[in-house]
Amino acid sequence: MKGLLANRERRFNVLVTLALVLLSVFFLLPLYWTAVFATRTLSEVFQFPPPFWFGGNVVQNYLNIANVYPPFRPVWNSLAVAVPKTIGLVLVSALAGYGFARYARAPGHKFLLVMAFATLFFPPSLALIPFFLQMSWLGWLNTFWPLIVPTLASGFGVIWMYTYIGTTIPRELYEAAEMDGAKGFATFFFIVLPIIRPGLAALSVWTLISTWNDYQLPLVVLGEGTRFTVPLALTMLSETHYSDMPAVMLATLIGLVPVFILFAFLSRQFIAGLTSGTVK
Amino acid sequence: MTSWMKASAAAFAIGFGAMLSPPAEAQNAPDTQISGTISVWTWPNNDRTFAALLPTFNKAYPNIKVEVQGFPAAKMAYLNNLQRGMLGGSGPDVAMMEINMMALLRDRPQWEDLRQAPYNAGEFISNFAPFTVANVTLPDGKIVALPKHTGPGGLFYRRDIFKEAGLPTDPEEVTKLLSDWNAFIDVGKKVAKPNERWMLANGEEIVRAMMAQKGVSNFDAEGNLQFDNPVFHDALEIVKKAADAGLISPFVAWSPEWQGAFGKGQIATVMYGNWFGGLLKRAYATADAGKWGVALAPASEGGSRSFNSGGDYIGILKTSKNKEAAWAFVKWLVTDGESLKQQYQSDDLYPAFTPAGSSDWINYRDPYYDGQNVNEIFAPVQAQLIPSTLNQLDSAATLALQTAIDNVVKGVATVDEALAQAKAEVKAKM
Repeated sequence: MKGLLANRERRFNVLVTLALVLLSVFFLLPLYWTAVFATRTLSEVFQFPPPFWFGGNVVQNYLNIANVYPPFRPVWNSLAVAVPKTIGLVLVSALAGYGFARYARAPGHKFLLVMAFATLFFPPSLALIPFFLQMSWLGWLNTFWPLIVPTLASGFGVIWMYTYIGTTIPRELYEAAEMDGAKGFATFFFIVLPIIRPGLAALSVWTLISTWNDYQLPLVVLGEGTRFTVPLALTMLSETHYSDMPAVMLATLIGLVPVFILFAFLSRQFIAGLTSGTVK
Repeated sequence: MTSWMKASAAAFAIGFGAMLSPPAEAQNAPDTQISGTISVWTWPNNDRTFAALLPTFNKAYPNIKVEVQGFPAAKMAYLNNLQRGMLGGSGPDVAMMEINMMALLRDRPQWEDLRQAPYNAGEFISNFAPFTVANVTLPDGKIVALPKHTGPGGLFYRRDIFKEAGLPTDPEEVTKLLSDWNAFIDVGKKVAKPNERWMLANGEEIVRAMMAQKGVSNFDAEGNLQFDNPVFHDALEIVKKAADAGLISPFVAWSPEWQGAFGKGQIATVMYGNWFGGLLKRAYATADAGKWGVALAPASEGGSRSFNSGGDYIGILKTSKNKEAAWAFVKWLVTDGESLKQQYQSDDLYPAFTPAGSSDWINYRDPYYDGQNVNEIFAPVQAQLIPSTLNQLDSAATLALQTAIDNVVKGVATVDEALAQAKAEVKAKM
């Protein structure tokens, strides 16, 4: 009986593993193919069937990118936007979420919370023109400021942290902290922050990736090629009627490296955040 | 001024004037000692074309620093950025307009009127191809930009494929052979091989050429949709005939597989502006030097074989803080012999400036076309073009027409049904 059970369990495990392997192949294949194309020539990419193994044109493709812009400059630009924005957004969201979660009886609590919620219902492109004029008035066009400062106030971030803190931190903890003489900010930094680390990591990853991929806002704000972030720089490799596909693929890979490193750094916390959210 | 200075200055002026530009030009050429920094907005690959031109420009104007910025033309990113820049007063000094953006951009008050002093563009605007002058001149006479380059259209054909099919390969003979659109279909039947090789990549090429030959645009000058004009019906009938005979490839125009088909010898002829040759040479069919030739497109009823495809324009914004330098750059770019030569020879940009058409650098035997001087085709085409009417809804009309063409090619709609549908689609947006 016991052996049969173990056998069935093992069979189930094998099946699950197999399904997961297939699923990861499904997601990794495009990435692999990107890497293959990045090492090929333009005419090889157009062949049918397309090449499945690496070629020898990677140096030339790199030079083709370097001919248009320094290949790593957009990566630095993207980092200069994404890192301060991520840190700031997470901090602001956590503080606001903490305020909403802890001081539920404060005057205006409900109104402010509803307002934060309401911002989620407006597509960001709706305010694009007024935003542009505002930034123009501030003299911030063609700088990174418009991509960082106004975006720190994120309705999604606040609601996420409010929900996360509300379900993770029992009220008794605040009371205990108060008994020990900790005021609001001290409680936040010394008690709340360490506990909500997984939630912070999840929000960081989400912010980082969406900032990294953002195209429209930087396109509107940045008027100078030397400040282009990764997605914008990629478009410089394409002409109206044709793209240097291998160069685009290689530049895409270069632009992915920092995201991979940062994700690996945060992923342990991120996974904990996904699974441990509501239990405590 | 001493007499030798006078003499050498005169010799210099005569020599340079003769070499670079006609005498009318030299008179109001800006001072070469102007200084300052100007920003220029364009799109790839034009940004690289400009960057390559700057050393030559700086030989003539050593104190002007030009900052070139390209924004992608795709998904209207360039157009939107320029419109926003105009709105917020944060635009560049100099901006380009592609012919398809003209209707949306040229009426904007932010363009400097180049007819006024110190530009006085009116004095030499007649040196540009007439249809381009029509495009930059507003009803009140304001000149919003100078024409930079055009896209005189021709029929690019594969000599080796024609030879294999037992057809003549000499451009003159091919022009004679493809005398009208029915002849085009008859020849196509000899060239096409099912699922392997096609006479034409996309039916759209036929429709666009026939419209231009008849001088019909999507809209007339009053903004009335022209899809009821018989030329659309006739063109779609030709497309249908060609499709039924298996002459039209299944590839979507500009898709990667479409681009690849040229290098693989799957497309026997293609009808676009002269710039298409640049794409063949540098991107789609780099290994096929000597295999291509250029003939005139088949003639429509009435005899015209001319059409234009593409082209662009360059103007100065009122917000520019250094209009003198901006003007020096703009004028040099579109009239200077060295500038036009370099643009033509390295990027196949055909000058809108007509005096350039007789230069040696444009009339040469190009090895890519097996030694043919393709300007013998393009120069007369440019001269005989009928100006088209531009409209703000052109992109919607073109899209609807493309759907109609696709539906006719796939056989899912009759010509009348497809046109009615296209008409309804555009009307809904008017």
